[in-house]
Amino acid sequence: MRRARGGAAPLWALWVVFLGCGVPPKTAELVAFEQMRGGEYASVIREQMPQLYEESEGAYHKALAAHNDREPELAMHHTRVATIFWRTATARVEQKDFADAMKASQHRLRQAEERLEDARRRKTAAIDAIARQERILAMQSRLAMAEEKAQLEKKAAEVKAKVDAAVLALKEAESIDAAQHAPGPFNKAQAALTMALDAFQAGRYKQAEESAAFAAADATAAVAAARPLHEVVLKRRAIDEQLKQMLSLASARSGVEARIEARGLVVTLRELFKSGEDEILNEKFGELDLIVELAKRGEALRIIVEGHTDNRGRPERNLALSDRRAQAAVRYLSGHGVGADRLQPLGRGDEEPVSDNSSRAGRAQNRRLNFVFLKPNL
Amino acid sequence: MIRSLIWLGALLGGLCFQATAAPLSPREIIEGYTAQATQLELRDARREVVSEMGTLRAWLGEAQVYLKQEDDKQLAFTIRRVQAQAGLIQALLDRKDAERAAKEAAEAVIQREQEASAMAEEAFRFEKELVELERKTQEETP
Repeated sequence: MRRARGGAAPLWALWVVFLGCGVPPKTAELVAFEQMRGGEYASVIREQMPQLYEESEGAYHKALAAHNDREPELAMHHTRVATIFWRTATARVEQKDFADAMKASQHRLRQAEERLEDARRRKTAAIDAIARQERILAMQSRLAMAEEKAQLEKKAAEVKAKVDAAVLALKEAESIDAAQHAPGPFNKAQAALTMALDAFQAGRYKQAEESAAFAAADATAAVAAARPLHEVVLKRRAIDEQLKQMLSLASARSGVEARIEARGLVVTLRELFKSGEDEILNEKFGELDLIVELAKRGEALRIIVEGHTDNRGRPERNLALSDRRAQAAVRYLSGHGVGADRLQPLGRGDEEPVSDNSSRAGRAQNRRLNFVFLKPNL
Repeated sequence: MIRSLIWLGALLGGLCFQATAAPLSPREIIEGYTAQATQLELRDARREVVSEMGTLRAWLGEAQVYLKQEDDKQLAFTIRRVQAQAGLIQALLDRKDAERAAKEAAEAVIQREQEASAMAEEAFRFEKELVELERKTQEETP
């Protein structure tokens, strides 16, 4: 037991010496630094911040040496310095990272600005183009309106021409008295024309065109129907005028009696013959020449030469005498250029007295030759 | 040994302030770092490195004490830490500035990309309208 006690004492002493000679544990700051130093970031710091890294490493090794030399204050100092350089290096690396990030952002910013500018240009171009298109559309619209107006005006002009044509047709119909000669189509034409004019004024061109067409057709029909009748009327008027002129000529001659009857101009000559004879007295040739002149003026007219006597003597004899006297006048006239085919002698005897046969004056009135310039049958 | 440490401090201080040929005294070195600390505080308007600045100020205070006590050894150590700490603060402030600038740039990118997208959508809308108008114009062309 004593040996045991005696044997244990040196061991205890040796253990105390061993402990006294051993390196004390590292400080928390040094351990923390070493953890930092051993991290993944260390290689980055070594590559990017070599000067600060070396500073930190130098201080760290000094700290380790001081620690091993059991100089805790000096070890603490160097540990702090190493830590400060390490943190400085870390901050510089991070600063560089941020600077790189900023450069990348600036690059993206430029790209974004280019896209923005491009979009702005596209927008401006599109707005300009839209404005152009809108102007084109407005022009097209105005053009369409102008074309529509032009077409309307053209249509109006066409319809007006048709209405005018209908008006002219109706005027033509009026000019030939179609109202009288062909009242049916004329009145229809007039009504249709009124409708056409009203419709035209109201801008109802289609209706105006249709009514004008009806009016023109009816007016044309009226003209067609009325023209023959009108021509007859004209011819009659012309003949009447001619007869009036002939009457005027005849009336101007003394001893000649002339009048217009329904059948035509009747010129009466008296005392052309000696009593009971059929030879024309020479002094009466002048009066017959008047008849010749009248026949030339009315050269289209047939002439009946009527012989009349008074009632003295037998009627058969008077009839024969009047006929011979008419023929004598016809011969004279044909001998002086009046066409024989126009002349017709007609003995009337004493059947158509114009005065009282009981008196001498009356009988003288009844002895006569009537030159009847016949109105043609139209 | 102490003398050499003082000379080392003077050398580092001189490098930091670009001193002229004449070596600076410890007092001048401390005053130089004190002035730099003030500049750094002014720069730290957002007070992002307050703790680090506190350490720097504390070490500058220690340096003043060692200067008065004429404890050259401790003074040299302290000035060495002050120098390193000032560098750290400078680096931290630079990092913060870089971080802010990167953040602002990233935000500007996002904003500009949004503007570009909006503008592209607007341009597309007008282009679509244009196509429609062109089709209409084509249809109405006699």
